[in-house]
Order: sequence, then C-alpha cells, then structure tokens
Amino acid sequence: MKISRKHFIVLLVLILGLVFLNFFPNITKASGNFIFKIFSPVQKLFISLGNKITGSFQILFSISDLAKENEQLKQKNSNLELQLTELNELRKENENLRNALDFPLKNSLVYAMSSIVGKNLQGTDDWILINKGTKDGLDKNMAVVSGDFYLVGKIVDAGKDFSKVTLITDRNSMVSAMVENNRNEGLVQKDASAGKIFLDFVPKNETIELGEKIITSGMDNIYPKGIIIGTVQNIDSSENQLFLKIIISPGADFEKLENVFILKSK
Amino acid sequence: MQNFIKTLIFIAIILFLEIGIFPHLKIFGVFPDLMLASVLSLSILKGFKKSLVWIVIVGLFLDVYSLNNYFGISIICMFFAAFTAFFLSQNVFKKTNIASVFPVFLLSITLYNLLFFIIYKILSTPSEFSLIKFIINIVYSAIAAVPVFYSFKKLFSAVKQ
Repeated sequence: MKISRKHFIVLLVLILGLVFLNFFPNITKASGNFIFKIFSPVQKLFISLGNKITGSFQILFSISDLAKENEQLKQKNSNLELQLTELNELRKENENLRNALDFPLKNSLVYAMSSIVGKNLQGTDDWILINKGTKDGLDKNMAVVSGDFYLVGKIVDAGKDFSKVTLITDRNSMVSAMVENNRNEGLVQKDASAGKIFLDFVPKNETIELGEKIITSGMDNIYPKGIIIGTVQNIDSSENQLFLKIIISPGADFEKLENVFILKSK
Repeated sequence: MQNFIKTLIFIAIILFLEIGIFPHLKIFGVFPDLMLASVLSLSILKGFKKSLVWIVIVGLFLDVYSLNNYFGISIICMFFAAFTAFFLSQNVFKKTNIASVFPVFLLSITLYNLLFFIIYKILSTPSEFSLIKFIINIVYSAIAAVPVFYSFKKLFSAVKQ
C-alpha cells in the first residue's frame, strides 16, 4: 500500500484535525463511547481468554502447594462460618435495638454489577473500563468493589455506556483508611518507587501487627466506611520517617478481576 | 490489500497479547507497550510514509480507548517515535540483526515516553513520577518489541513469496 505525497498531506491534516477536536470535548467523549461499544465484546473476550491461559499455567506450577492451601482454606472457612454466625446474631440484635430506638440505617447502599471490558494499554496508570455508565445511574467518584467485597477503586470518568475506574493501586489514588483493630486513621496511597500501596500518617508509637485488616474510614466521602482494602504486609518504622509506613497487600486480585460492583447511595 | 489485511490481523493478535497475556507478566507494575512496538516495526520494515496509516489507526484507538484528557497525544508521540525509528534504521543502525534493531527500539520508545510525559506535564496536573518505572517500561517494551519486529518481518517475507 503506497502513499503518495497527496495522501501524506491528507494524513497530516487528519492528525492536526484530531488534535483540534480537543476543543470539542463532547465529540471526543461520544466517539469514545462509540468505539467502546464496538470494541468491548472483543476486549472482554481477550481478557477472559488471557485469564484462562495464564490461569492454566499457574495451576500447573502450583499443583504441589494445592493440598496445603486446601487445608488452610478449610480452616479459614470454618473460622469464617463461626464469625458469620456471630455476625448474624449481632445484626439481629442491632436491628432490634435500632427498631426500639426508631433509628434508621444511614448511608444505605445499592450495588450495581458491572463487567470489566477494558484495561490500561498504555503507561503505568492503573485503571479499568466497565460496561456501565451514566445511563445506568453511574457517576464520577462512585466507589467500586470486587465480587468478594474488597475495595477496587472509584469511577473517574463516566461515559454514556462505559465508565473508567481508577484502581487503588494507581499512583494518583488516595483513600481515607484505618486499621480495623485499633482504629488508627491515615491515607492509603501508592509508593511509586516500590510499586506498592501503603497506609501513611499512622503515628510511630502505635502497635500494628502483620496481617491486620486495613479498611476504609469514610472520611473522604467517596468510599463508604468499612470496606476492606487489604491486609498489613510489612511495616517500615525507620528513623528517617515521621510516621509508620504500613505496606498493604490489596485484598482484590486486580489481574483476575472480571466483574465488579459499584456502590450507589440509595 | 492482502498485506493490509494480514497486518491488521497480526496487530489484532498483538492486541490480544497486550490485553490478555502481558498484564499477567508485569514487572514492577509495568507491562510492555506492544502496540507501539508494532507501529515502530512497521516504520522500520515498510518505511515511515507507508506506516502513517497505522500510526493514525493505532494512535487514534489508544487515544480514544485510554480516555486521555487530550485527544491526539498518542498519535503525535507515535508520529515522532516512528519517524525516529525509521531514520535510525536507515542512517545509523542499517542492519536488521538484534544488535541493530534493539537500540533503534530503545531510542524511539524512550522518545515516545519522554514526549508523552512532557506533553502531559505541560497540559495536565502534575502527578507522581517514578524514574525506575519509567526506565523499566522503556527497556521492557524494547525487549518485547524485538520478537514483534521479527514476526512482522517474517509475515512480510511470506507475503512477498
């Protein structure tokens, strides 16, 4: 396919024309929505196929650990069942007390399920695309959680049929959070050099243990209180730091995410 | 036309690798930019002018798809990177062995990322910058670009035959 001088100029004009489109954000947004609509089924297929292929390899490499993991999961499951029974009891008690005091639940949320139809292809920003947008009632700054209710991120751009979700592992993400047990509050952000997320602004004299849960505090008015962000993986209390640097292992497995829930205020 | 369709199918396969496979092979949270590698390979193998169509198609797709705040950034950066790759392959690293191809990719991918970073720095709010990630991104993309280049080379030689 040869390109003549005339075609070359036409292409250059086309490129400049595309740049000029920036002055009309509505057109760029509408064209984005159109392309997502066409391309999203293909990309969903690519993501799911890729997950299956890499998943099969992972299974092959981890066969020896499966028995051990199975035992651990059984143990965890029985612990969780016990906790669930206790929680159900507490919920009933809470409901009864609320009814007695005539004190309704605040900040009730509804969940909209959505599929991931795209992932970042460029650079190092961590974001995903979901197949629901403004026409489904989604809007900017709505919190997004995984199927197992771990924090995933928030909507940063809502189109008509699609929304862009920034993950909590993105370098610009900030989440008001706290340590579940001792309720110490701080900010979860990304350590760009280490490529990990950490809880900042927790005083050095506090005792935090490895494996403790880090949950959202609700102070930023974006993420509802109580969503699990992850668990404490490491604590850096070196002298050159003013606060503890609590490295978090995120609860959500971002590589394998296929569906998410968007939290909408009722 | 046959060449165009074959290239299109090949780019679709590369897109699948970039979307489906490489996100699982991240190094320091970074995975290679295979679409850029495709455009650079085309520029080296078919010439800058002939690769312009692909610069527009791939760049436009990435710009729309990434919901970049500024439309056309990928196309412009790809335009200069593809020209650099073509220029270097014609004037400095003339052979098509790995020792010549790798530095061409390394330099043109560096230019692409630098331009992208500078334009974003000028136009949008400043964000945290990690030099290590920046370097890993360039090196990883350049390494991954080598097999992409040879696959395209094989594809075009098969079409000629």
